[in-house]
Amino acid sequence: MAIRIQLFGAFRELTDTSWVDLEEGAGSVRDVKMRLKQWTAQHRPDFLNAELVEDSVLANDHEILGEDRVIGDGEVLSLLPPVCGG
Amino acid sequence: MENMEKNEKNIQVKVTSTRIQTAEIIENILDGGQGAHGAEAFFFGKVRSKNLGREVVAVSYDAHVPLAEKILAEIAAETRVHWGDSLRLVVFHRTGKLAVGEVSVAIGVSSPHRDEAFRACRYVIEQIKQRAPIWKKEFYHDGETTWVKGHALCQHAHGESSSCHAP
Repeated sequence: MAIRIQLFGAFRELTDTSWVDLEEGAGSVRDVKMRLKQWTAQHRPDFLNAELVEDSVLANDHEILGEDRVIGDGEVLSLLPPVCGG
Repeated sequence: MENMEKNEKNIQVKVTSTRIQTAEIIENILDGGQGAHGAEAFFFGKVRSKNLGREVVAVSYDAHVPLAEKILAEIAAETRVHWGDSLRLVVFHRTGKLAVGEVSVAIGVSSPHRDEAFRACRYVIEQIKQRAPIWKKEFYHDGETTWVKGHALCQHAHGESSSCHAP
């Protein structure tokens, strides 16, 4: 079962839908970020902000998730790049 | 759908796609403290026409709204820990596209004395820039756009202490 990653900031330009579905999503946050980098390299090699994944965090609606947090199948997460509000 | 303001007793935060009316911010704080407050400090951040040498014609803000409102409320609550639990705060941030001169962020602080009002107001805007899941895209006169580089968010596991948020 896939996990859905909602995209924010510069990552919204990664797809037309502002989300990415990763197949077989179970694993740690660290694993999911690695798979996101792989997905980007495979599907959007032209994406100029791909290196941002390393500097980004994954979150749910309540909190930012630590790198060791285990993600379950079917979870919906958000990919948050470096911020610049205010 | 507009997200609800987080109306606790002394903290109001909102991430909104509608224009911020500065008078509303001032009026929401104006009678704070029921006579016990002698100071009100306000900060209004506005869209500038130039950034890093380029002529900006507009900006747009994207936000993870539920998380942003939660973090704005946390930041506001921290000011009451640092500078007194009588402080009242209003913190509003825009999303969507804004023209030059429009207000992107508004902060109001009411307190007994001016020192904590100034300090809390400054603290809130500096913390927003580092912690709020909000992103800015600039639109330039030549038609190009760019997402502004920002601060990486803290990624400590929930419950762990962090030095990221020191006043």
